[in-house]
Formats: sequence, structure tokens, C-alpha cells
Amino acid sequence: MTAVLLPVVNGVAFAMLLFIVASGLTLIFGVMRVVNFAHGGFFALGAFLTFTLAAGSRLPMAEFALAAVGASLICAALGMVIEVVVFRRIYHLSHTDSLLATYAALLILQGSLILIWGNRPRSQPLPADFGHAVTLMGVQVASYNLLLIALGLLVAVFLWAVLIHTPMGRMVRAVASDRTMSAALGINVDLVFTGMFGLGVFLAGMGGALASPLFQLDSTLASTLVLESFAVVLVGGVGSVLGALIAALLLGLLNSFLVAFDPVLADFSLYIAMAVVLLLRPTGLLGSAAMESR
Amino acid sequence: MRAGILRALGALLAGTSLAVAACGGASSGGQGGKAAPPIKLGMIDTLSGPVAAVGTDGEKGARVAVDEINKAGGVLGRKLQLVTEDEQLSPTASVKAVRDLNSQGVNLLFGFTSSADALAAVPVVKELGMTLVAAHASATELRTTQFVPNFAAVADSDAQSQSAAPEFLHQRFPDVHTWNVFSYDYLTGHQGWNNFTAQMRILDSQFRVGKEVFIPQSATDLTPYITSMLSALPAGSGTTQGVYVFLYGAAEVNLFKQGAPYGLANRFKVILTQGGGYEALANTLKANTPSSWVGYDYSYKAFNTARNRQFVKDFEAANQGTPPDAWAEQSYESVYLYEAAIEKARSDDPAKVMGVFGGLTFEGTQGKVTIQKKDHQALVPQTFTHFEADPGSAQGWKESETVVIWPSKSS
Amino acid sequence: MSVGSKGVRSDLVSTPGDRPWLVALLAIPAAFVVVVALVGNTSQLYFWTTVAETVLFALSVNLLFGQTGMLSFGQAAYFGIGAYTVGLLASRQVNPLAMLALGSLTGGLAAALIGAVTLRTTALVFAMLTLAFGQALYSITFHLQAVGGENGIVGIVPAGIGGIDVGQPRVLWVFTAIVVSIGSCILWMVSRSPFGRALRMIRDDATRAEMLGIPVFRYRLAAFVLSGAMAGLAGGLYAFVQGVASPDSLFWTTSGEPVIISLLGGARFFYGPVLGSVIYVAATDTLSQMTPAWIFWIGLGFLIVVLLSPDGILGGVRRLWLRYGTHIPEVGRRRTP
Repeated sequence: MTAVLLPVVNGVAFAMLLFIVASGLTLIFGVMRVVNFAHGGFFALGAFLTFTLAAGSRLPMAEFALAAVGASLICAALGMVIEVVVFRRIYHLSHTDSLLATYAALLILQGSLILIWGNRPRSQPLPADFGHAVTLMGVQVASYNLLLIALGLLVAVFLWAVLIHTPMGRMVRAVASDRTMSAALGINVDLVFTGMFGLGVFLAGMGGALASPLFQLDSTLASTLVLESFAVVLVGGVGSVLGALIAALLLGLLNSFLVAFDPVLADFSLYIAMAVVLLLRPTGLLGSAAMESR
Repeated sequence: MRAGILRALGALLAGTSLAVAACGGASSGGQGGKAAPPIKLGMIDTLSGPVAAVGTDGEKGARVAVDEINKAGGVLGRKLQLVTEDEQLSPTASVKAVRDLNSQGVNLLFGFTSSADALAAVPVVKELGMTLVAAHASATELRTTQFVPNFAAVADSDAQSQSAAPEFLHQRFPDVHTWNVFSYDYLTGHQGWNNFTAQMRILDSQFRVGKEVFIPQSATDLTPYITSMLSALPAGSGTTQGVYVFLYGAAEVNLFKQGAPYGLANRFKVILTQGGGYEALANTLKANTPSSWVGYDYSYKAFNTARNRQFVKDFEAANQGTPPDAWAEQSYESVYLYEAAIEKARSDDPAKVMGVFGGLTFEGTQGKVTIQKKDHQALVPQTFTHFEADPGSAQGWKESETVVIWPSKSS
Repeated sequence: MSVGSKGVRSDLVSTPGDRPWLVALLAIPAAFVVVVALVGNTSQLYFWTTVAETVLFALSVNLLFGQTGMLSFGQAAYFGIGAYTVGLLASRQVNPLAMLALGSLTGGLAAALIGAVTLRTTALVFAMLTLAFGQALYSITFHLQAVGGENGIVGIVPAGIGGIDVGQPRVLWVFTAIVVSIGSCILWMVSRSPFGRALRMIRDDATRAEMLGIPVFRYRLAAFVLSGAMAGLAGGLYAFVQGVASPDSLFWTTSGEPVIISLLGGARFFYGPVLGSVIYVAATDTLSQMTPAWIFWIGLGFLIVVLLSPDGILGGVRRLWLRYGTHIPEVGRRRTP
């Protein structure tokens, strides 16, 4: 039991980080039909902003949380501005034509990191109360990982609650399933789009903020979780938050166990899992065929 | 009318000759009284991206050398001029940089962060009849299978540095017999570990290989690898075992960041890292820098030679009091290597310069440096520096001790 | 505006029978090749030779993307296979044309295998799977010592043909230009053929195409294999030009570049990737030497292009031409209403 505990906890913790980022991506994808290639850029921006707001120092949890939320809100605001100014002009294009626009946004974000923070890598320490390991069933487990698991679940519950049980959430789901009909029914589609993009990017920034104590902060952070988050979105099913959660857990646990028991295979684990699920069930675990184009 | 035209023509002619004379200094074979054209040295190094520290620090070191030499009258009565190109950590960008410099008439090159880039550049350097002095790149292939006479190296080869480390460790920590490893999962990493263990086995009859963890370069979440190592370590490893960390850049930082909650650094009596740029890691981690021994070519406190004192003094003067790191020193040394070679060859023609590489000696920061005949490898010592956290200080870390090991045999 | 079933088909530049235009189209590049060969210095020759192999790679990718509507993020796999094939044969003094042919063949074969597995899925899944296969191949190559591991194969020099040293920069440029021209001609003829028209029908509405009797899967597979073969050919040329075949050439970002290039120039135009290649290579080369934050400026440039002309530069040029030009050759089948 104890031999599996650590890989499970660590795999789930990483999965939660991945889920938070991917949930934003899948929402933008599902509601707006936009493949947000700039998502990784916001992830990195969230991390760097947290570093600056925290002044790179070891903060008590409450202040670190403030810095993280602040960073995510800035990302959301920036995202909404970009959505209104740039993306609104490209919605009539197909997926593939909007690619260049979101890719350009990614390059701009990544370049901004270098312009603002320079080339030298930075480091944000873990929050003061979460810098150590706790003993769980006789095994040392990093407390920050436990925090990540709790936060991931919180985000999942929050999104589920908002999307399923609030009028706003119903509006969003209506727009996601039929944009034209929703507009005809009087829903302000533009506002929903801007809001959803803001939320999606907020989640990316939050993911970055939470990841900031775990990684060296440099411009390559923008591509750090890109492949994994796209894999999670597709494996989970485009537009499905629950699907993203399940897919993230699958991928996180698979990677964690493979590294522990067969490291050679671990490098390929992501691609194997992706290929298997997608070939067997192309719409992803919980996706709907309506979202796909043939 | 005619006079007007003549006057205009005269003015035009005068103006043109003035302009030509002003630019004339740059053309080859200057007129009498004008200074001879400068000797151009081309630096190809990483100036952008996460490991930009290598190239930018290297450039700083090179400029110090160029300024020192020019202040003392230059080489063969001509000033040195530095031309830089960004390697971009890409073999294709490196090859392009080589060709670009060649088009500009710059044929004496040095630098190269990455061995892959250097290996890609060497055939082109040979084809175009240029010379290349590797300041940082250290792959053994550059001196063996891919060796060309156009090449020389200031940096220790991997083989040299990897055999010096066991010597130092066995001397300094004779009671540590079990060694573990964190390394990238690639050829260089495996080779490095094999060199290390082979040499350790010769020196220490009680040597044992502990846990070997090879990390793919694409891995971002290192926790599984960290826990893999931790679960293999016995309880008392913090006083009995050592670990050889053969990573670089972000992964090394991430290893210690993600390992901090588990007290990873304290599970080993000795942490040995091989490679330069530890100052960058220490500056990133600041007071969270783990206590480790770093083996590389240079540490500014390691040598008390006249050349090193001059280097440190001039570098600090030009860089707000920051002492030079190994990247800066390697580029500085490369420039001095060229100075010696050009002087000895009495020419800056690459064909003649490469002819004197073998057996060349010059004053380096470490003392008298000799370039080996068979593979143009500089015989320089390895320095082992103890880095540790210094929470009281502004920068958060310090170098507390340095040991120098001269190679007992050439590789 | 996006092109639907009505509106001008902006995908072809000339119609049959416009001979003078065709001659001009061929003469200009030929003259250009000769001029560069005679006048260019090492840097310039290298630049244009790189542009040429980039053009071929981008054209091959756009066959899939712009013409057939398939976004693949794994074309670098075939490109890299072509490069490594050439790299592995280079030391054996094989005829360069034979090496390129083999690189093309292996690229095409690999594409046939992967295409057979991935093409029966939806567009997004297809993109993701091609990415996955490409990355898997990258991983394998990175760890395989037999092909040089992380360093790849270096010092690749093409052998001579009948006494001519193909490795010499001027000769290599002419050689590359000729090979790229042949490859582009093949792709051009494909796009003009009924098969090409069918591909574009599949792009616009695959279900309708199926109902019209077009065997969608088989045609897509054929396009995928042809694209892979051309990518392999481009990869082989790349190995000659750079002298290196490294795992980088298999990474997913190498797959992304020709897509970006095609979009930049105009994915619905045959010559879009050509224009895009010149601009992209020139921009990245010059900007990367100017400032460490060069990707910011490249991104800004792309954004401006997208905002001003969502169908690429050629799309914008065509719109201006239509609006302000007077006597122009008929472009496509129907006029805008």
C-alpha cells in the first residue's frame, strides 16, 4: 500500500495542476470553438506575475494566495482585452484560419516575458507553510502537493456548480451548443464569449501561479504544459470539464506509475495513452460528436 | 558655366576623397600613416533563450580580454575587434552563423555553448578554411572522431573533467563509497556517468553504484524521479552516500525546487555537479541553494596568478563589481589563445594560425597553459568549488572553498 | 472572407490557355536562380538555398492543409525521416539524386503507415494523433545511438554527380532549386488535376464530396502519402544544406512552421507557401540576430497580417488587385456578386 501511495499522491497532484490549465482550454474550445494556442503564454504569464507580486520571497500562504489570485486576474483582464480587440475579428474563420491569430498571440506573450523580465531565469519559493513534507501512512508526502489536490477539486466543483446550476452557466451552455439560436433568443453572445475567454485565461494564469514554486521561471515555461493540456482536452472530450478532470488524472497517474516501475516507457506514455483513447473513442471520453468536424 | 561645372566636379571629387579617406581605414592595406586594419575574432555563442547567461557572460569575458590586449598595443600592431553571432542553441542557426561570419571576412571563431552545435559547425569550419576554438562545448567527439586541425579547445573535455571528479571526491571524502546519479537520459549523460564510475572503481576498491535515475529532457514534473531516488536510499544516506548531478539549466533548478519539501539535498553527504553556470542556479535559488561541490574549469578564487588577478580586476571594473564566472573565463582564455597563436604564426591567416595550435603555450588564468599536439586540447585543471546558501547576504549564497586538481594524465 | 460554395475560388492563379503568363511565371524564377548563383556570396547562397527547401516543405504541407483541409502537426516526421535517410547514406558516396529519391520514398512509406491509422478520425483528433506520432518518433530518434542520439548526424556532404561537386555552395543552390522546381511542378500539376479539384471539394465539404462519389478516405490517404514523400524530399535537401540531421528536425515545432508559413502567405493559394517561406526565413533570420525578444516582433508581425488579411498576404494582394486592377486575367471560375 505504502509503495503506491507516493506515486498516487504525486500523480494526482500533477494531474490537478494540469486539470486547472486544461479546464480553461476546454471551455474556450467548447464555447467559442477557438483553439487557444496562446493558453501556454497565459500560464507562463501567471507564473511570472506571481513571482513579481510575491517579490520572489517565501510568503505566508495567505499572501501567496493573494499574489496568485492577483496574477490570474491580470491575466484574465489582459485576455479579455485581447479577445475584444483581436479575436472578435476572427470568429468567422474556421478553426484552422484562426490558428495564426492565436499562435501570434502566443509569440507576443512569450516575447513579452523576455522584454519585461529579461533572459535570466527566476525562482519563486514555496509558500512558507507548505515548504515541507507531512507523514501520511508512514510515507513522506509534500504538503504542497496535497494543497494542489485540494485546489484542483475546488476548481472542479466550482466550475461544475457554475456551469450546471446557475442561470449564467445555462446561458454559457446554450451558446456552446448553438450560437445562432442563443443570439436569436436574446443572449448577448459577445459578452458570453468575452467572459468565457476571461475565465479560461484566468484558469491558465492560476495554473501558472500554482506552478511557479515548482519550476524555474523562464520563457520556455510557455510551452511547458502545452502538449499535455491539449492531450487532456482531446482525451477528455472537447468542452467537457469533467472529461478534462478524468483525462488529467489518467495521464498524471499513468506517468507517475510508469516512471516508478518502467522509466523507459514513461517518455512515451503520454503518446500511447492519447493514441489508444483517441483511436478507440475519437470524441474523447466525455465529448459529444456535435463539437467535432468531420 | 564650364567653370561652374568644373568647380562642382572639383568639390565632388574633394568630398569623395575625404569620404574615402575616412572609410579607408577599414579597407585592407591601409595607406601610409593610417593604422593597419583590426584583426576580427568571431564569437558564436548563446545570446538568447534560457541559457543566454553562457553567451552573455562569455561575451563580457571576451571583451575584457580584447580591451586588455588592445590597451597593451594589440596583436602584431593591430587592434582586435570582436564580432558576435547568436548560436540560438540550434545546430542550423550555428551553421548559418559560421557562414555569415565567413561572408564578413571573419574567420577566427570561438565560443559554442552546445556540443551538438559545435559538432555541426566543425565540418563547415573545415570546408571554409576557418578556425574554431571551443570555449564551452566539451564533447569528447570534438577531439576524437570529429577532430579537425582547424579546431582547438579551451574547455576541459568531458573525459578530462569526468576523471578529475572521482580523484577529488576520493581525496576529500574517502569514506563515501556509494554514489547515486541524476542525469539526463541521453548519450552525453550516460557517457559521463560511465566515465565517472570507471574512474571511481580504479581509485576506490569499495566503490558501489547506488541508484541511477535518468531523466528525459522533456520531463517537466520531476517529482516521480525524485521519489524514485528517495525510495531507493537507505536511512543513513545523508552521512554515507553521495550523488552525481549531471543535469543543466532548468532541470537542475527544478530538481532542487521540487525536491526541497523532501529535503532531497540533505539525503546525501556530498552533492557533486559537473558543469558551469552554477552561479546562475545559485542566483535563481538564492538562499535555497543546496550545499554542493561544483566541478568545472574555473572559479575566480581558485588561481592566484598574475593573469587571473588582472582578469578579475578588469572584469569587476567593467561589470559593477560582479566577479567573472567560468563562461566569462573560457571566452577570455579563447581570446588569449588566439593572441598567442597569431603572434606565433606572425599572421591572422587561419591556415597559418591553425598550424601553430599544436604545442602552443600561453599565459592563461590558471598559469601556463599548453595546447596538446594530438587533439589541440588545452591542458587545464579542474576546480572544485563549494557552493552553499548564505541567508544573511544580499545574494543569498556564497562560494566558500575551492580546490584545484591538475590532470594526472592527458586523456 | 472565407470561401464557401459561392464566391470566387481563389486557389488557382491562372487558367489553361494563358500561355504568356505561364512563360513569365517560369522565366522569372529561372532567371533568379541564375542571378543568385552568379552573384551571391556564401551567406546569400545559404539563405536562398534554405528558403528553397523550406518552400518545398511548406508546399507539401499546404497540399494537406490549404488544399485538402487536413491539419497535421506531424509532418516533421517525414521531413526528418528524409533528412536522416540522406544522413545515414552520406558517408557511402551514393549519388545525391538517389539519396533524395530514397529519402522521399521512406517519407512516403511512413506517411502511408501513419495515414492508414490516423485518417479515419475527426479533424482535431487527426491533428493530435499526427502530433503524437511525430513526437514519439522524435523520442525514439533522440535515444537511438545508431543515428547519433541527441547530436544526430553531422558533416553531411553530398557526393558529386559526374565530376561536379554538388556540395559547393553555388552548385548546391542550383541543384536544390532544380529539385524544388521539379517537386513544385508535380504539386502544381496535382493541384490542377481532377484529383486536386476533388481534394478541394473534400476540404470544403467532405460529406457532400462523399455523396458525389469521391472516395474521401482513399483520396485523403493519397494526399497524405504524396505530402509525406515531398516532405521527405525536402528533408533530404535540408540535410545537404545544413550538413546536419538532428532530432530537432522531428520536433513538433518543425511541423508547425510550414503551417504558419502557409497561413502567412495565404493557405488557399498555391504560391502562398512560397511567399510565406521567403518572408518567414528572412524575418526570423534578421530579427533573431537583432534582439533577444525577437519572437515578440515576429508575433506582432503575424498578428498584423491576420488582422489586415485573414487569408494571408496573397489574399490581401488579390483583394487589392480585384478592387483597383483593371484588366486582369480571370481568376477562378466565378466572379464575386
